[in-house]
Amino acid sequence: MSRTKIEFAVQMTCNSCVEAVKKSLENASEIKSVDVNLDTGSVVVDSSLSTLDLQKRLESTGRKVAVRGYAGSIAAVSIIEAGDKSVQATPDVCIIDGTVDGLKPGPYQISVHEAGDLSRGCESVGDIYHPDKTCSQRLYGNLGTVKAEAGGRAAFRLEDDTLKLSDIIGRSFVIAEKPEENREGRRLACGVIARSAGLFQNPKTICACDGVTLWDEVSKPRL
Amino acid sequence: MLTFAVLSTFLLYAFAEKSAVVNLSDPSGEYNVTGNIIFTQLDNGIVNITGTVTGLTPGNHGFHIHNLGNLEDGCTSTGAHFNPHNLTHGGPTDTIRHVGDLGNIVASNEGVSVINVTDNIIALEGLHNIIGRAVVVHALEDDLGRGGVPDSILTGNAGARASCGVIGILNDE
Ligand SMILES: [Cu+2]
Ligand SMILES: [Zn+2]
Repeated sequence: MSRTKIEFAVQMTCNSCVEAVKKSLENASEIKSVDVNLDTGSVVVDSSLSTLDLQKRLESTGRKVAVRGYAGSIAAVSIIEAGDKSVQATPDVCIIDGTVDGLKPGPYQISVHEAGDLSRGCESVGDIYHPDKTCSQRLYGNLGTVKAEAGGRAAFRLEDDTLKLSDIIGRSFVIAEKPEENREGRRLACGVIARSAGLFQNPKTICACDGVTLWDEVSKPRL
Repeated sequence: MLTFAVLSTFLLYAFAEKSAVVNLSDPSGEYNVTGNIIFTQLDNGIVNITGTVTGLTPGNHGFHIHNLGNLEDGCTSTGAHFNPHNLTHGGPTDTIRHVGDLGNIVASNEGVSVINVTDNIIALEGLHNIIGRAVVVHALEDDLGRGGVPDSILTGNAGARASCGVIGILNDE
């Protein structure tokens, strides 16, 4: 598994908090290093765990946690329903890390579609993306299958060495029912693949727009 | 006359290099401002911006491209105005402006704004590429940097973010 660096903002006020945060990330062979900066409230984790796994560990200390950025020249995020993230971690491997809630248990197809047009919901995003020039053996935008567990959540972390993030920004990410025969499965949810902050590009903890702190934003209920 | 109009529309699309689209919504649920806007970059680099936004209060509303398309925390996580040259905030016709400064859109008494403008700074490719970033429509008027309050030269003091959406690819023939 390739590792990625993810930066979290964690509400920390003292050195004992730093210890508690470090402790929450101990005993996992998937975690290579943890960098905690009390002054900036930043925790950088180098691991092969999913964002959700890491966030759960950090939240187990009773602190508020938010994702601040991902390593890589560009990072992207696509919000579909409960929020799915797609991240490029290294120049060669695209890491797609995400969570989708509200599904019936079972397998689902995830793919990148050619357009980022949600005018008619998931019907206007076009076909699965497959540029003419590609030398890929498979349908370029086909990312494969993920499984939703009993609680209706599909959490996944896929590595893909075909996809380049710069090719897919502005297109869309779709989760669909498994295809039957040669027929595409019904599209259940989709989102435009958007630019998001990279590592250390998001230093602020207060949003200049309305004076709402990052922590107020995290506490806000999501609709 | 009708024939001419149809023909010119056809030509516009035939020579267009690239188009992008944004579907605006209000994740906060407080403003219920929605809309659909299309950006078309012509061969000469000028970008046509056309569309409709509804649910606004009558009058002017700040209209910007924000740096990120991240809607994880609603419109607040789209970051600041798209500003690759690190300049101060301005109006669309100013030489000193953020790339993302598109000024104001004007809503009718019914709260509808029909947009049909051009801009020669934003682009659908290269350094000024707006694809994957966000369109934000604000609750208040953008003072175009001339309001005299500290926020004027940062954001145009346009108030809360009433609606936003990620700019996606429409076609790229
Ligand atoms: Cu704005
Ligand atoms: Zn600006």
